Amino acid sequence: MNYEELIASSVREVPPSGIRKFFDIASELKDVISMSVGEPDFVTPWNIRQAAINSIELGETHYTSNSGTIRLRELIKRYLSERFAVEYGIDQMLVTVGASEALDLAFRALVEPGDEVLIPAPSYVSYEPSVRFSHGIPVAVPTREKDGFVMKPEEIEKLITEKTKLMVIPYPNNPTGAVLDKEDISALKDIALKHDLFVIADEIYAELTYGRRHISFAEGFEDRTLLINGFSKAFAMTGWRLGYAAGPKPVIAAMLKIHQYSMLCASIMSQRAGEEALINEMNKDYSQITDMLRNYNRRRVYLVDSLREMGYPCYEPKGAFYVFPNITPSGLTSEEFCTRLLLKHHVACVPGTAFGKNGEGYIRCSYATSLESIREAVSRIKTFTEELKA
Amino acid sequence: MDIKKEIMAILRDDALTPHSQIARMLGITEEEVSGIIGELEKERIILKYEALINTEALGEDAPAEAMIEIKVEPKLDFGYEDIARRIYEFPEVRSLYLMSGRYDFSIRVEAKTMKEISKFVWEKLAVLEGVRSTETTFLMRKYKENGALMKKETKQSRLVVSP
Repeated sequence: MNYEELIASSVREVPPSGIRKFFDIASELKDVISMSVGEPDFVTPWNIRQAAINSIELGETHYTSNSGTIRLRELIKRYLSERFAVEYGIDQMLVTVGASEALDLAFRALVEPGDEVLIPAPSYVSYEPSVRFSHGIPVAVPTREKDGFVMKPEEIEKLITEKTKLMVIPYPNNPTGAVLDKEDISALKDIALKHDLFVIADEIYAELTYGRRHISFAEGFEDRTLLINGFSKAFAMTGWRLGYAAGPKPVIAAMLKIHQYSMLCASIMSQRAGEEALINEMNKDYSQITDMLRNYNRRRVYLVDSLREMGYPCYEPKGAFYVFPNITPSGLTSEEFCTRLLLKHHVACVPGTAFGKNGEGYIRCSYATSLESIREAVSRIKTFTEELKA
Repeated sequence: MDIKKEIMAILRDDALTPHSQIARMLGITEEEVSGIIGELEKERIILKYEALINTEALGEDAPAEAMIEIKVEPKLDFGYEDIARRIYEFPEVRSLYLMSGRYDFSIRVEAKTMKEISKFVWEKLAVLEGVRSTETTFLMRKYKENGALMKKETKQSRLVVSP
C-alpha cells in the first residue's frame, strides 16, 4: 500500500515539531536539567486533587453535558467577570479537553480552505499546524525584540489580504513572555474592526503576569473575540486536560457541533476539580495563585539577570514562565547553541526556531522548574559560554 | 499591590533574598526596598531572621521538644500579662501563646533531653505562683514546620521537553 498517498496532504505537509528532536536527545542523556518544559513544576494544589478524589468516590463517572457542567460554566463566568471584566454568559461557553482542543475546534469551525490566519511569530508551536489541518493558510506576523515582541499594526496592515479572516492574539506569549498593554490592545482592536477580522485570544497564561495584572483582549470586545483559557497554567493542572472557550453564541454553537461529535465532553472528574480550583481561589482572594506567582517571579528575575550578566541581551519577560534571550553574541545559531548545550552540558532549552522563523537568534528557557535546578543550569550555561569565548 | 506586604511575603519565603533581587521582583529601587525593610525592623514587624533547622535530620543530636498546656489563675489588675512574663522568661520556652479553650497557655519547650524538659516542668513551671496545672505532651516526629517539609518529596516525573 502507498502509505504516502494514504496520509492526507494537509497532514503530510506539516513538518514534525522542532521540539521533538530535543526531546529525543534529552531522553537519552543522564542528569539533564530541563529548561525546555512548557508546564508548571508545581503539583496541582491538594484541595483540587481532593475534589477529584471525592468526585470519583461519589461515583461521578458519567458523561456531562457537552458544553460542560453548569456549575463549572457559572464559575468560569464569574471568574472572567470579576478577574478580567470580561462578560460572557454560560450559553456562550464551551468546556474543552484542554485549551488545545478549544483552539482546534475554533480553527475547524471558522476556517474555510484558503482563508488566511494572522499569527505572531515567534509563537506557540500549535497554531500554524492547526490552521493547516483546517486547510487554512497561516500568515506569520513577525514580532521583534525591540518592539517587546508585540505585533505592530503597520506590520499587520502589510499582510492583510481579502482572504484574511482571523487574527490569533496569544498574550502573555509563549515563548517570548511578552504581554500587551492598553495601547497595543486598542491598536489591534482598531485593525480587527477596520478589516472585519475575528480574534482568537489565547490567554492561557493570563494569571501569570509580573508587575501588573493581565488585560484581556476580550474586555469590551466580547462580540469579536473567542477567548481561550484553561486550568493548566494558573492551577498547575496540565495533566487534567481542562480548558474552555468563550465567545459569541454562533461561534460557540459551531464549535459545540464538532465537540459533541468528537470529544463529547471533558472528563467529569477534571471538571469537578476545575470547579474546586475556581471556587477556592475566589473565596481566598486568589492567594494560592499569588503565592505561585511570587515563586515564578523570583526565578524570572534571577534567570534574566544571570543571562544578561553572561552577555546575552534579554528582553524582560512580563508574562508566562519563559525567558527568551538573544544568543547571537555566542556566534552560534539557535539550533547549534541548544544542541551543543544539551550534548555537552546536559541543559535542555528549546531553539527559538521551533516557534517560527523569527525565532532565529533566540532560545527559550523555561523557569517552570525549581530555583535549585535553575541555579545549576545557569552555572552550566556560564561554563558553556566561557568555553565558546576561549 | 501592597509593597510592604509583598516584601514580607518574599522574605518569609526566603529571608536571604538580596534587596537588589526584591527590587527587581517588585519593580522598585533597591534603596526603597532597604528603606521599607529598615522600617519593618524598626517597627518590630520583622523580629528576626533565622534558619529553619530540620531537627529530624539531626538524629540523636536533635533536641527534645514538648508542647505544654498550662492552666493559670490570672491576677486582678495584671490579667495574664504578669504570669505570661514569668513563663516566657525561661530560655527553655521557645513559644508562648494564650489560647481559647480548656486551658490558657500553650508553650513549646526545647531542651537537650526529655528528662531535662520533665525537670523544667516540675522544678520551674508547675511551682510558679498562679499556675494551676500543666499537661506535657512530647513531640515524637516532625513532618512539616513553618510550611517546610522535613522529608524531601519525590518529584513526580515530567516530560523533559514539552511545548
